[in-house]
Amino acid sequence: MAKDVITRFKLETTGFDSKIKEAAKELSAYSKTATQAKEGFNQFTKANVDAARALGTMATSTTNVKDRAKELVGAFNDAAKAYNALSDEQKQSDWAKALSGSLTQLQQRIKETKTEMQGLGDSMKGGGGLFSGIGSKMEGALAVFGGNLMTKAAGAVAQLGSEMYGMVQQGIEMARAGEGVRIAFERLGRGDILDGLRQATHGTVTDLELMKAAVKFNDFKLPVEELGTMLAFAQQKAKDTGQSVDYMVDSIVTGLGRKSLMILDNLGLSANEIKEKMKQTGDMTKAVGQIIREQMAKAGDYVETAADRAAQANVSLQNKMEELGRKFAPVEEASNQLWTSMKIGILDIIGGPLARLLNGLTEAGRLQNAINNMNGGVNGGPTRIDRMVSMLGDGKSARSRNTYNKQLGVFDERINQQQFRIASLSGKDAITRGLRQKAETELKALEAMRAEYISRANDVFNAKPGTITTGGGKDDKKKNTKTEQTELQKNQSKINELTQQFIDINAEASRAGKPLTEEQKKQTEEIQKQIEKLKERNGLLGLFAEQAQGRLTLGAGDFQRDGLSNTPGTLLKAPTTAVYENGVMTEKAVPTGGLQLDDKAMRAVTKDIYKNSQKEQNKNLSKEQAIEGMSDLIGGVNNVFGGLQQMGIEIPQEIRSVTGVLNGILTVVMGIESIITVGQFLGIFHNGGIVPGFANGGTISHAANGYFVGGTHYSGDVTPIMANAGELVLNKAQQGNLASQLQGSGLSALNLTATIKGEQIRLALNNNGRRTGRGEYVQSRNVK
Amino acid sequence: MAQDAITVTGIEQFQEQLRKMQTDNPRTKRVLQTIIRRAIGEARKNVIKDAQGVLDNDPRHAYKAVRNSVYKQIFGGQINILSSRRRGAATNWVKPKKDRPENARGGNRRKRSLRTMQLDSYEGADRGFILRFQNAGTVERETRYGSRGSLRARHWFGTSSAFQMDAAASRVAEEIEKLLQQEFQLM
Repeated sequence: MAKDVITRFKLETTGFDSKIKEAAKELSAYSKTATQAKEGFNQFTKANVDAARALGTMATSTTNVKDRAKELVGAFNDAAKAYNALSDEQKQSDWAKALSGSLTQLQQRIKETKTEMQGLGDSMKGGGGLFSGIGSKMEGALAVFGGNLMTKAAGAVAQLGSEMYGMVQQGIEMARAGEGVRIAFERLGRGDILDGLRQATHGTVTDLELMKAAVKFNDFKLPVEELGTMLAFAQQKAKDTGQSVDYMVDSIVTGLGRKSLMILDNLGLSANEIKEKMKQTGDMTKAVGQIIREQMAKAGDYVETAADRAAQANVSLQNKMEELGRKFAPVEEASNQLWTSMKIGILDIIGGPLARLLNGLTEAGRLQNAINNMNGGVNGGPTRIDRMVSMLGDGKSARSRNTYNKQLGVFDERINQQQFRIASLSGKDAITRGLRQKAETELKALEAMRAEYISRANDVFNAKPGTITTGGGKDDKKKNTKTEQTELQKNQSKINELTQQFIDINAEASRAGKPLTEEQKKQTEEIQKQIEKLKERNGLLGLFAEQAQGRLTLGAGDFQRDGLSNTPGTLLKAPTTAVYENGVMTEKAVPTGGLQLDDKAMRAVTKDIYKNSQKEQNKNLSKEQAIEGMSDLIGGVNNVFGGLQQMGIEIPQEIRSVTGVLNGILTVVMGIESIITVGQFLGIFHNGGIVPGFANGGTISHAANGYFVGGTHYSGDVTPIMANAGELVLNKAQQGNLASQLQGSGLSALNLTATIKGEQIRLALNNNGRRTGRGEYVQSRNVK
Repeated sequence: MAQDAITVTGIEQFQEQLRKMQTDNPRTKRVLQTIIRRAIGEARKNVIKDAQGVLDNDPRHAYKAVRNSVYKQIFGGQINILSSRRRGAATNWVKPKKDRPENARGGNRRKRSLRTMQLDSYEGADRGFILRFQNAGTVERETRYGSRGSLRARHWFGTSSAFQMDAAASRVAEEIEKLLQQEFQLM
């Protein structure tokens, strides 16, 4: 009882509160991590900032001076473009003037550099000493450009902040990428060699690369102590040949590890020399080490070049960035985790426990609930769709396809019903809106279920090998198209072959000058049948090919029009029309732009056509009845005449002419279009009405001067008359109508007028008085 | 300046906001109860419309007997057609006027019209029994004067109120979503 008279709802807030508390806790943890990381961040001093700013993005990766020159020119061009894009007012600002000054100086430096480079010609490719001068000019140019621009330009600080943020991000990425390398290096337990390697490479290789090389060296079971010498040689060779240091380092480590003379060749080491040394030492590493030491002794002391300096600055920056990244990676990770978890937490609050407790309140939840309600499947048991799909069996029989089509029909019907229901819920009040929303959700659920059913059913059908199916996936369509095309081609060749046989048989008979024998006739007939079958099959396949190409599709709720399938997603046969040409009826495609109606429009049009045809049929029926009646009448008259003549009765000419009159009337009846007119004629000449009147000895009266039909036969229309066009015959009812119209009760156009005067009334009164003996009217006299 | 690029600010405010959003906070509780009250009020209004649809003829405004309430301690509410408590002084009963003076003997002699009797009987808000009769139906009652007939159970309240409560819950969820978005500015 109580359940029927009270409805409650309760909001569970336990999940809500716990999520919020969790978010607060994670926020505190994040705050703590960020505070700890702040110290590391402060180590990134202003000197680092200046270095990073000066080098910027121009000197981050390359150590080749030539490339740097190109970048410098590119940077100059970009800056010049930016300057040109400024308005006149902007060009007057301090910032723009500073930019302009920097550009001029930079241009001058570039010109000088180019002149020197051209003068040096081919010798520029080698010779580290030459790079020194160019490098210093470049650095000077950069310093001027950077100094003026960055110290005086408005907004420079913001740009620096942005650069810094970018570098921190890069550092974090580098730290993440190098985390594994660092762990592997620490596992070697040779942390002391890193400084030695840095010195050997003169700070031109990043720590990360050095560690990678060390780890790799160790993995190849090579002596790590020799690595410093090898790397120094690689760095020297890189300088000599213009290759990158990283490449050389990689070559020497990999070459030694794999004992590959081909790879060691990259470093300029002669294979023969190595082989000879190997004979002495018995080990490739030792042999290569000996050669390297000899070559380095020949080369003399280390000479620092501009490229080295640029590389050192770059490496220093990258090392710093990586170091910074290592400090900030956990901060960012914690930050990401925190924000992600907070977002998830809040979304959980919004969409999780609260929504569940409020009985599936979100749109998705409602939809899912609706699907679950319709689909069934309690406690993981089979759902309705499972059962429907299981009814399809293995999808090989025609029954499966029929079941599938029937089920789709049920779906479509339910969807249509739901759409009608939604359309009928047009009210704006809360209840109707609620019902409409529920109905729309159910409709979506139905559509989703239908789509799922189609998809799963197609899986069943497509499982059958070699079957041409429709509505499948893209790959299936492709496969099917291929199968169909192959069959098409085979059929076509078979048709050609059969046609040739047909021609041969006929030609043979023709050459012999004899008609076809019985056997030949049978053969040709058989061939014709086969050809027809193949053509029919090819026509069908052609249709499938069209379908597979996606030219025509059958939508949900469409009727079956092509005799193939009403499965949604199936492609329709192109609309065709029958054309009669050269004595042959052929079927041709409706040209583009032809009218195509959907099922609704088709029904509407059909309905109209049906209505109109009914009307037309009624008209025709009445007309036919009239003509039939007239024919009967004429036939009856002729029979009567014939009978009378047989009896020896002579028929006057006037009466004989009645047949002609009736024929004339029949012609008129056949010509008339209006059934009403026919009815009027029939009103005068009812079927066979003349026969009894004439048979009873009556005559057909002329009505030229008006005619009154006497007698007492007020029904049956037994009295014939003869009349001309324009004459009017009124029956009694029509006369009554006319009379009432004349009396003013029906015809408004009839205008009656009357003149009544006082003396006429007085006269009447006087007459009346005298007649009744009550005196007479005495006209008053004027008293003077 | 570079430090500002990655300095995280606003943690305290965010935590304060989180603290405020807990349901033991009086402000949050009040806001949530307001949301629930509005939603249930809307639900009651719609249930009343359904009641009016069920009652073909309702001259005494029995639809007014649909009542609702919001719980004080927990977050929730209910909607019912139970009998309300006695309304006491709020009744429409008016002492019949007498034709005789106060000090004269005899009772009231003026005949009371049917309409007056109706007006002076239960008011709409006290007529929950009519809604319950329509909801659960009645058995046929035989009296010495003859059969009084029975009412067919319409079971309208369960359907209508459950649907409207669903809608109310949806409204509450939407409002809470809005509230959270507003408070945390996530969207």
